[in-house]
Amino acid sequence: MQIRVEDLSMIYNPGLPYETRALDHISVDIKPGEFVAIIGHTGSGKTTLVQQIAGLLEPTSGRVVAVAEDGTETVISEKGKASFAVRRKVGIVFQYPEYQLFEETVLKDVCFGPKNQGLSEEEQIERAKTALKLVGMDADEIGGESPFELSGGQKRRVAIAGVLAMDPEVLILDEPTAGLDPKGHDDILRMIDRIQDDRNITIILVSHNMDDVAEYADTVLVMNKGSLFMQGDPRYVYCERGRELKSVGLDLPAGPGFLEDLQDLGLDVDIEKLTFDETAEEIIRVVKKKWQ
Amino acid sequence: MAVRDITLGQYYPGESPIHRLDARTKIICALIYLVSLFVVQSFSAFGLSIVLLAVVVMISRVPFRFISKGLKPIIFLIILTMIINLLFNTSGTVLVEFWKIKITDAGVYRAAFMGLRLVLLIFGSSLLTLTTKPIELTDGLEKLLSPLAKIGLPAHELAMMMTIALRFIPTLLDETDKIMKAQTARGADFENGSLKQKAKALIPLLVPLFVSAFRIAGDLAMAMEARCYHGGSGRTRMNQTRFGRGDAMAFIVMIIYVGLLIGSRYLPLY
Amino acid sequence: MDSDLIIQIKNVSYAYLDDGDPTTEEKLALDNVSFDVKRGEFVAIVGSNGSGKSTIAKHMNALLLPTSGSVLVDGMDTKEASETAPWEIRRKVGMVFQNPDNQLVSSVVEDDVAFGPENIGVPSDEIRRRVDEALRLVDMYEHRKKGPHLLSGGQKQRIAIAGVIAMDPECVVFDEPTAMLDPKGRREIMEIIERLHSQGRTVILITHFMEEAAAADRIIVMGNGKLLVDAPPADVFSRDDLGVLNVPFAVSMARKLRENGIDVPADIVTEKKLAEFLCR
Repeated sequence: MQIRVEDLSMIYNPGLPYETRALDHISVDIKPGEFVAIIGHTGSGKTTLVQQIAGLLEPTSGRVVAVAEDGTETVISEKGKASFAVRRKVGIVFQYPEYQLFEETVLKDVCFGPKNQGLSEEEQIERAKTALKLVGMDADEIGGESPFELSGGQKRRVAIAGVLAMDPEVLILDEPTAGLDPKGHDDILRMIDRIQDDRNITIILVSHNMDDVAEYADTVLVMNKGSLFMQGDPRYVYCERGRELKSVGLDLPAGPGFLEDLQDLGLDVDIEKLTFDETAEEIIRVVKKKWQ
Repeated sequence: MAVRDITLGQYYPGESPIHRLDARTKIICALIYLVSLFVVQSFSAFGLSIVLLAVVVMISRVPFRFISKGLKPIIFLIILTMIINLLFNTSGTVLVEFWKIKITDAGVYRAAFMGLRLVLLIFGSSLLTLTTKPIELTDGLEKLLSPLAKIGLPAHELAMMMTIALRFIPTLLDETDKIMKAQTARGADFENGSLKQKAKALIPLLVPLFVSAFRIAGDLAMAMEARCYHGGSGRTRMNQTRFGRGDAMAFIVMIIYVGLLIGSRYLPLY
Repeated sequence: MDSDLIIQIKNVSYAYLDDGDPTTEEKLALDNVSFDVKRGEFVAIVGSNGSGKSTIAKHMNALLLPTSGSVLVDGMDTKEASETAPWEIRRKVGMVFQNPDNQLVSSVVEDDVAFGPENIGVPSDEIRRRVDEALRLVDMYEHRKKGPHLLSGGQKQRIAIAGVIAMDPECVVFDEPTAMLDPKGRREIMEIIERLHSQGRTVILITHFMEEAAAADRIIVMGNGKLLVDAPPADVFSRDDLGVLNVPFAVSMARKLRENGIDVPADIVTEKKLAEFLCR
């Protein structure tokens, strides 16, 4: 399933003195199976955009369309309509998703989505078990426990499983690692990457962590003040147009960021490197030449 | 984001002499004014109340449409009160009569009287909240109630509770919005279905909301303790409220107003 | 009494309250932890979730009291003080928490900053002066009349810091102050922390982020309630046996460069220092 965002605008409080243009004529295509990262400052419109894609908010103008493989188009959201039917194909994991857990047991909580989809009880449990397995948890071991008794990292996994259990074709994650320790952070990201490979679903990741984005994303969408500021693969966004990114106050991944600092201090380095090893090689080359 | 924009209380920011009055003065004056409306017996005395209100509104520089906004939620109640008075007051000269309904001059008089009284009540109390910050209002209440602390009324605690409630209403509204969206994304339906289904649909919203509220309460209690909070004793305040010339003026105006009202009862006025 | 020590942690163990179930194994959140903090020092405490780093932080201002062992703050035993006037300890050791939303009390910024000084009975004029000064220090003076709900996470956290500074504590404990912030907010908070330290205040920073810990004079690594290491950043980052750490970019880069014959000094742990070294 392809997601097509067509000339989407969102204005909060239109006509009032505190009118805010949260999205300003955004158009973008998200291909099936793509790993898309959305970056930008807090308040740049990232969250509004993904909520539109998930069919949770009505836009002021423009629309979001799901295009099936056979070419049929279904509107996800447009003015006056935020679609429930397609929402099932687009799952969204909000920030701090563990705060939405509510059932007595882990298994019941994960079943909530499938139940609302109208599946039979066996199917619900089947889906829940598979989803728990995807997030690295054993339903037999932990399914009967209260979700409120789990550790922070476990709660988050259960919450993600609750969305996966709805079997989405597109999975949106809004800063899924916020507040976790480094190990929890790495675990969740590797898990997302694995789920994408296993299921071949589209991932849309909202993130502030440029190192993660550089490592995992196929495409990066840069939002700035409600507009789509830049779009391309990590190498394009961070290396070729890194200076522009910095000019709007956004960070670069550690490698390119460090190379730019070196360049600013007068070292003649080529800044178009992305990974740690590329960065190291470039520094070694330049520094050795300079010190000879 | 949408929920966040709800304006709280209904404070209208300004620097007018009315805004600058001590919150205690405003609370007391508003109380006197509200009570006076129930004492008033004649239209001419009401004229006095209207003049006073109009002058205060002008000084406060709060646009009239903000003050009249307070009427919206209870306009139905006002109309109902007026109709009841109109229909069921049978004394006096009959003006119109049809079917079993008689409308008398006394009925019209009562209806107009009650309607005016309610409108003035709303305007008077709105003016208090429009010109006083919620936080000053709670502070003022705390100070006014503090003499009652001696007889066991927890004035400081009540005011602190109000302060915290005011502070966390936006946070909880935000939280509600977020949880609702998240559960909607999982297929929850808060809008359709029978009353029983609707009530059941609230569980996925209410449980997380309560959990959040308790988490916030725990965090906040710890933060307050860390900032040396230990109840009202030994506490000082940054904003020391002192009664100033404006407050004295306000009280003088109120005394004159009350005096005139009392005087009006002995004059042959309508 | 050693007067240049602000905090002394002596053989502290802490067990979470028994839940009444005899089958529950008593789990020690802190297991015989000892260390001192000198006046004016900047100490970072790191460790994974559940390592006990937050628990030890809450011992430093008597929010928690040790099950065994003792904590001295400026020579005062927290256990004794908490029976009479725990706020005497808390005015010396202020604390900033993780969640910026849940630690602000008032719906007006400047009134919130005044909350602490009001609690310890500072005279009104003096509170006004301190509030203005604290708000200027965190660059939030222009927002003093606003409601916290209109501010960003980083701004709210700066208000929380101002609220602590207005009590004029000798030492400020930051309990994961940047965990819920975006990179911009995180940078702002770190700048303020370093500013406070340079003004001579003792700073204790509990964090997940090694880049932040690298700015400290000393890093304490916690694991399973035990103190694993207590050493300067360069020493801590050079150890491979501490699985909880993912070392900062500058440290792994310096290591890589050393392997390739560029002789980076061992004490370089921040990107700024590494860049300066490479460009000299």
